[in-house]
Order: sequence, then C-alpha cells, then structure tokens
Amino acid sequence: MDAAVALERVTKTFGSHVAVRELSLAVPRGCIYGFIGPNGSGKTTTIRMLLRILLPDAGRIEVLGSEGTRAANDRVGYLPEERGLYKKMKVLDLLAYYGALKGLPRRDARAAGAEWLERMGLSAWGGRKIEALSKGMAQKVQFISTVLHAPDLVILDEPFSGLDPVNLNVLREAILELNRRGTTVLFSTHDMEMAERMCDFLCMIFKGEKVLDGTLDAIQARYGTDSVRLRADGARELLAGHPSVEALVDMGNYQEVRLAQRDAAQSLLQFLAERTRVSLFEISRPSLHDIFVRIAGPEAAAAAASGARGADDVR
Amino acid sequence: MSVKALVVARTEYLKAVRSKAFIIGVLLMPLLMGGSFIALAISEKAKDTQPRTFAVVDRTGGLLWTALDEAATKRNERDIFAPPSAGTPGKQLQPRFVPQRVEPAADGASNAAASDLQLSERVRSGDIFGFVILGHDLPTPRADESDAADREFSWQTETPTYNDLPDWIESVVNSTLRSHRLAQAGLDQGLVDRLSQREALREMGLARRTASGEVRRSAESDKAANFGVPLVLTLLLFMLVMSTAPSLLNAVLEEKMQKIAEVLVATVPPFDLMLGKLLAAVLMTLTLSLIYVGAGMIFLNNASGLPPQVAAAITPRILMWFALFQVLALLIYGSLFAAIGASCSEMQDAQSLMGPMMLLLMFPMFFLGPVLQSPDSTMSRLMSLFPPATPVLMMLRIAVPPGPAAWELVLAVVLTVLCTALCIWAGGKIFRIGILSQGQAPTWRRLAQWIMSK
Repeated sequence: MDAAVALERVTKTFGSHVAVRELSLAVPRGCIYGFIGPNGSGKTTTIRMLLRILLPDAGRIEVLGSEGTRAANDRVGYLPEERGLYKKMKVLDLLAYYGALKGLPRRDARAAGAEWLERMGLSAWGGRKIEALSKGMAQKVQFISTVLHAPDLVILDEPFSGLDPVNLNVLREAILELNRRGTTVLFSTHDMEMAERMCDFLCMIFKGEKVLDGTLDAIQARYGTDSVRLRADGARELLAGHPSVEALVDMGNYQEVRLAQRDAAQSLLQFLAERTRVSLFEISRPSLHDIFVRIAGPEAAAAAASGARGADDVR
Repeated sequence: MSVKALVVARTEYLKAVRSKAFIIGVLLMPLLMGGSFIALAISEKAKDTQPRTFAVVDRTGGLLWTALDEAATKRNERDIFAPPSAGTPGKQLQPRFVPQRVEPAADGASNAAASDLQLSERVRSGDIFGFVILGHDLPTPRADESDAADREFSWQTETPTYNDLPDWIESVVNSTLRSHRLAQAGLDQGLVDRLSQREALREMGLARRTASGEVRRSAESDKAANFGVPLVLTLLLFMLVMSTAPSLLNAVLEEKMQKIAEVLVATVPPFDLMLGKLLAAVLMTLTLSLIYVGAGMIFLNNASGLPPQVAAAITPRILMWFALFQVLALLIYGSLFAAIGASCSEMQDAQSLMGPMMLLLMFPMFFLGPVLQSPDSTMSRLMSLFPPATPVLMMLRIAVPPGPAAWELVLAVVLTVLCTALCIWAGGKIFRIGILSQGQAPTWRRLAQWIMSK
C-alpha cells in the first residue's frame, strides 16, 4: 500500500451536527498534501481522527499501514492548530521530553533536539526556559518538537496561521526540506494561495464533505485554462454582461475573469483595448479559490472569505 | 501501565521536585514551625509586666483586705519572677498586683451606687485596672438558700478578658474564707488539709507476658505518645494529600489553557497521561513524607526532655500504614481533581466543581476528636470504613493503641482499593473527553454522561 493515510467513508457526528460525512481520501507517501477548506469545514476533526484523539462513528482509517490503533502515532508528528509549550521548562528538556514520549531514548532525543536548534539558529537557547523565548522562537521550538523524532508523516493543522512573514518563510522552508528527505506532509489550511504554492496533492472539503481532490495539475487542467487576470480602467462595468464572460471576481488590484469559451481571450483583449487602458492581461490557470467557489457555490465563497478573515485572529 | 505513563511520571516528578515552589514548600514547613517556636520564646520574654492596681471595697471590716494585701506583697516579692540562675535574679515574668483600700460607702443603696459609679469612673480614666467588692457577711457560711445576707463578691473592670487578676483574687479570698470559717468552727486548719489531701491517678498501659515467661507491668503511658503521635501523623497525612492532590487540577487545567494538552494526547493515550501524572504526585508526596518523617524521627531520637514513649510509638508498622493510606488517598483524590481539571476550561469553572471535592477531602477531619476519644465506637468503625474517609480516620485508629481488629484493616484496604480503582476509572473517562473539551464548564450530569460513555 503506497498511501501514507487512507480514509474510507469516514463519518463523525457531534450530537446532531455532522462534522465529517462519508469522507474518503488517500495521501500518497512522500507528497505534500494540502487539506483545504474554510474554517469549520471539518479539517481539524478529520486530523484528530487520524491521530485517534477522536474516534470515527463510521468508516475506516489507515495511517502508515496500521488501522484502528494508535500504533502509528509514534511515527507521526502532529502540530495542532492551537499550540503551546510548558513555559517553565527549559528548551532542551522540553524537546527531550517530547522525544521520549515518542519513544526515542532520552539521550537521542536530546541530541536530535540540539541538532535542530542549531539548524534553526537557536542553539544558544537550549538551556533557557520557554518563557524567555520570543514568539517566533517559541514557534520554531514547537515545530522542532513536532519533527524531532524523524516521523514518517507530519500532520500540521493550520501551520501558517498567525505567523509573521519571516517566520512563515522559515517554516515553509523547513517543511519543504522535510519533504525532500522523504517525509510525507499533510497540512490543513484555509489559505488557498499557500496550498497552491506548496502542495502536490489537494483535498478540498466544505461542510464536512469532500468537494474536490487530486493533484494540483489535474485539478487545474480539469477546471482551467480559461481564466484571465486583468487590470483595466472600468473593467468591471465594461465586462458586465459580456457574452464571453462567465464570471468575474474582483480581487481588488485586478479582476479575475472566467471565460465562457476556451478561445475567447483574444477577442476579449481586443474588446477591452478598444474601450479602455489595459495595464494587465494575463491568461492563467484559475486559482484554487476560484475553482472552489465554482464547485461549492456562492455560499462557500462567502464562507471561505469569512474564514480567511476570521482565521487571522488565531494567536 | 505503559512506558509513556512512566515517561510522563518521570518528567512531571523531576519538574515538581526541582521547582522553586517545592523547595520553598519543603523548607517552609519546618521554618513555620521553627518560627512559631521563636515567636513563642519572644512572647515569653516580652511578658506583660505592667502593674495592675485595683481597688478593694471590703465591707467585712478588714479581714479580706488584709489577706489580699499580704498575699499581694508576698506574690510581688516571690512569685512573679523567673527562677534565679547563676547568681543573677530571675527576670520578672508577670505584673505586680497592687491593691488599694477604698472605704465602703455609708449604708444605703444610693450611696453604694454612687460609690460604684465613682470607682467605675476611675477605671475608665485608667487610674485603676478594676475593683473588687467584698460583702459584709462573706466570712460567715451561708445558712440556707434563702440567706439574704450581704454576700456580694464581685469584680468589675473594663478589661474582662484579663483573667489572671480576678482568678488570683478569687483564690486568695476563698482560701482566706476557708481558713476563717474552719477556725470559727474550732477546727485545726493543718489537720483538715492533711485529711483532704488529693491522690494522683497514674495512667498505665497493660501488663503483658514477655517471651521469657515473666509478667511485665507496662510503663506509665504518656499523653504525648497517646494523643500527639496519632494526631500528628494523621494531620501530616491530610496535609500531604491536601497540598498535592488539588495541584493536579491546576497542572491539568494549565495544560489545557496553554494548549499543550492536544499534542500530549496525540502522543500519549489520555489514560496513560493521567496515570503518569498520578504516579508523579504519589512519588512527590512520598518524597515529602520521607523528608518530614525522617527529620521528625531524627529529632525525636535526639531531643532530650521528650518521653521515650513518643519515639517508640512510631513503629515501622505504623509508618507502613501511613505510606499505604497516603498513596491510596492521593490516587483517589488525585484522579478526581485531575478529571475536574481536564473537564474545565477556566479556573473559575473549576472552582465551583472543586467545592464539593474539598468538602469530601476535609470531612474526615471533623471526626478526628470523636474517633480519637473512642476509636472503637460504632460510629468510628463505620466512618473509618467509608473509603474517602478511610485513609485519614483509619490512620488515626491504627495509631491509637490497641488499634482496629485485623478484619477491619483488611476490609478497609479492600474497600479503599476498590474505591481507588473506581475513581481512577471514572476520572480517566472524564479526563479522556474533558481534556479536549472547550467552552463552559460541564454540569455534574454531563460528567456522569462522560463516565458512562463507551
């Protein structure tokens, strides 16, 4: 079996609320897998079921070849969405503790911790207490505690929320590096652009149900090649009701237009150029956000938008 | 128990015993006790030696005034000083009592009232501390209940909480009256004293036959050993449990509030996590009791002036029970407190759930007196077999000779172990669900549902 994680028709309900409905997906080994959807769509519940923190009501879950047990958990690194560390513990002691909990001999855990601190530029902080660290440093330590035991699978729940751009880049580099070394990475995010940049495979869920999955290329090939990014004075008004335009999404600095026909781009450019000043006209594959909106409908668009805003206040 | 529980226990234990709070706590208890001894010694030295001047209205014609005056003079010369040492006179420990004679008012109720008021004003102004009124007919014995003679014997002061002076006056006046009345009846005071001499009761342990066959009378029993040892051991047990078990609530709640819990339960099954924490708490109190009991034994074996029965009363058997009940109590209460900590998201919510638990933890303490007085009464037996109270009350009964019967001990241990298992099981159920719960505090009904969930 070459899937690191496989779900078959998994359902989880809380009281009368269905958090995840008949979800099936397969995460191939060695890939970066994006688990995307607006907040409240069931991502965290699914991840918790993978780790058997929650048990599914129905369906089958297999993680790293073991089914229905916590046996694989020691080979999994998990970074929850809400995270924190023991403030009073020293950095290396904490890393050794987390490593030991994952089954590493304490000495090996300490050595691995020291190595990671070095790589992250934190080696001077090993003997300091967590409470002495800055927020960015604590986030790095948190990440180290997740991957210290060289897991085969890393599960990251909204890893990028609340990070400043510098730390975000550090974390993204670290994740890509892990993946290059063969670790399967599964991360959830409501940030579709981030998913688009990083993931080989994607799964979109909305209201507990899968709306889309596959490789980024496959998804875009299926739904794409008919999207134009343009910036032109008064484009919104000019294009309203134009027969070649199926939908127009105003992104602020530019408009994203989904064309009704595949080869309508040229005629559209001509149409605009005759009437106004065009400063940007780019034929592109559609953004994930756009695809998501097209598949899940306008309600999902609103949810995704509010989710993106609401998620900024985490931490 | 899994390896992970042991990893948790090791880390939590080391974290706890290395923390400043632990070290301060360990030192604080002896310091507090030492401090109270020092405070006692200081207060001993800083005795109140301000003279107490008081007025005496003696309507007996001088009999009692003379006695009070003489007794005061004698006392002020001899009795208020510490014993002299190495040639230096002893330090004054008590105030001088200075009587002042005040002529009784002329006959008539209004005159007496005026005199009362005048003396009261003197007390209020601070001129005198108080005044005593001695009725005209006190020297003669009371004839019968309807005796209407002037037998007033009263003490009036602004400071009713100071008892030394009125007690002293009462004693001087009564012994004077007794001598006077005996003499009036023609009896010899010395003879009466000899005939009414009191005999002291000695409290002994039981005699027993030694291995060599001779019967040995037991040594005189000792109050400190009979009451002090059981009480101190029981209180120590209670304090150790009381100071450790509720801290589990804080530790678990902190893990939830600091968002550490989810990482932990993704790695360690919740039940193992709780077991690890309980184990750490057990190790922690065992460490503490080793320190305290050890230090106490060293002190008892080397301190002079303590009866040997005290050290002898702390047998290895008693210490073994002490350790066993301590562990069981900690497991019972620790698992319950950990479960409450796991089920709440905020300290305030935890407080309200904690109330009944604290009551359960404390209620055996209300029975210490009755159980110590009669350890074998039906109530003592029943209470000490009620598992939440067993550790404290059974410990007390074991430490009081002769101790409970063997069957009671066996039953107590069986019941308490069952209760411990039940608490750990139920606590584990609540812990498992609670540790990930967010939002408002669960109701008791909700907790019961969590326990019953599969």
